[in-house]
Amino acid sequence: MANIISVINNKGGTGKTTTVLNLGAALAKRKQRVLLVDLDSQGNLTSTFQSGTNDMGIGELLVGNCSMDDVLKANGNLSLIPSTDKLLDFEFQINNEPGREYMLREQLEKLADDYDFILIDCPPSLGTLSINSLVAANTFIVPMQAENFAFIGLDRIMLITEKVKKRMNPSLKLDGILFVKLAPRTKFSQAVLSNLSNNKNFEGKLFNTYIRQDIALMESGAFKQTIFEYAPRSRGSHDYMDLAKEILKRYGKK
Amino acid sequence: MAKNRRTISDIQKALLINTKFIKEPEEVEEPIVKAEKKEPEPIANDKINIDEVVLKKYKILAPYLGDSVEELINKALNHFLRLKSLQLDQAIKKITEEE
Repeated sequence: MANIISVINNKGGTGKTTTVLNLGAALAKRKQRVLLVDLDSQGNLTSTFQSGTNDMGIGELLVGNCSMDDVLKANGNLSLIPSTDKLLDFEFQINNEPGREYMLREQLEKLADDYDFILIDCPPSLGTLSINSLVAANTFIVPMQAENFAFIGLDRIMLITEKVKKRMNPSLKLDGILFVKLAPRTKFSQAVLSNLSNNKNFEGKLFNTYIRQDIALMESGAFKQTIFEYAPRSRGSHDYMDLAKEILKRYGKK
Repeated sequence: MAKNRRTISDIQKALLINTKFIKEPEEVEEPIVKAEKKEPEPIANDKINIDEVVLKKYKILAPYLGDSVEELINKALNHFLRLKSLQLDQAIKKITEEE
């Protein structure tokens, strides 16, 4: 049964796509069957994963214009349900559907036995698509930088996820907060870390692994490669592999 | 101009100003998940004696309602039992009031 993880933050540029791609690749390297779902109409995950464009993607799948086989792209242990630039139009269409929050769950349930992990790359908003990801997921990861607006953003995400838990997905849990581009020696980072680590609601919910600032992570995306292909000895490569190991340990896997 | 020196504690307090969930952890309760209403346990046909004529009618009716015969019988039985349960509640209430 797949562990479905929503990687969510309504703030842009927090490393959601980078995390989904490289955590997914790291898990696949550890012999896990991984599916990535690009739920962002910007399609950055899709364009990094493959060359060329797609006629059909997650939007078409959700509204029933195509089948799962039409959209699923496999590459060894790592597969992708891509996004297209038409996803925004489909989001408007979905908004009028009864039970609109459950549409992604319906689709992913069909694949639950085919994968060990399904990672969802959410758009930088808390709209219908992000809510769909939280309803479909077992857990969620919040990648964030240790800065003021990200801290306020985390607060908003937690309030929304509490509502989703109460109304639609009672088993939804916070997997963890992942600090990216962290400079742990600065006072500001220490204040953010200490505010969260002393908070009952986040007990055991801060990943021990954090992602250090690494230019190779930015470059790898531009070259349509994972960090393991582009710079296997980089800090980013080590950090994402450590994160995969930490997650596998949490899930009781090797 | 002198640089404003802030301590970690100052920053911690400033960070919390615009938050709700993080600021008030003790007030955020775990959501109460209501126990899901259990569907009535299906009862196998051979455990209930159903009048043959009634069963025949149910077999005709079931496809029109989009149910299987078993589902339809279970629904009818469930409805009957709820009704009886309600009558029982009312009887108990009446007896209590009289006492």
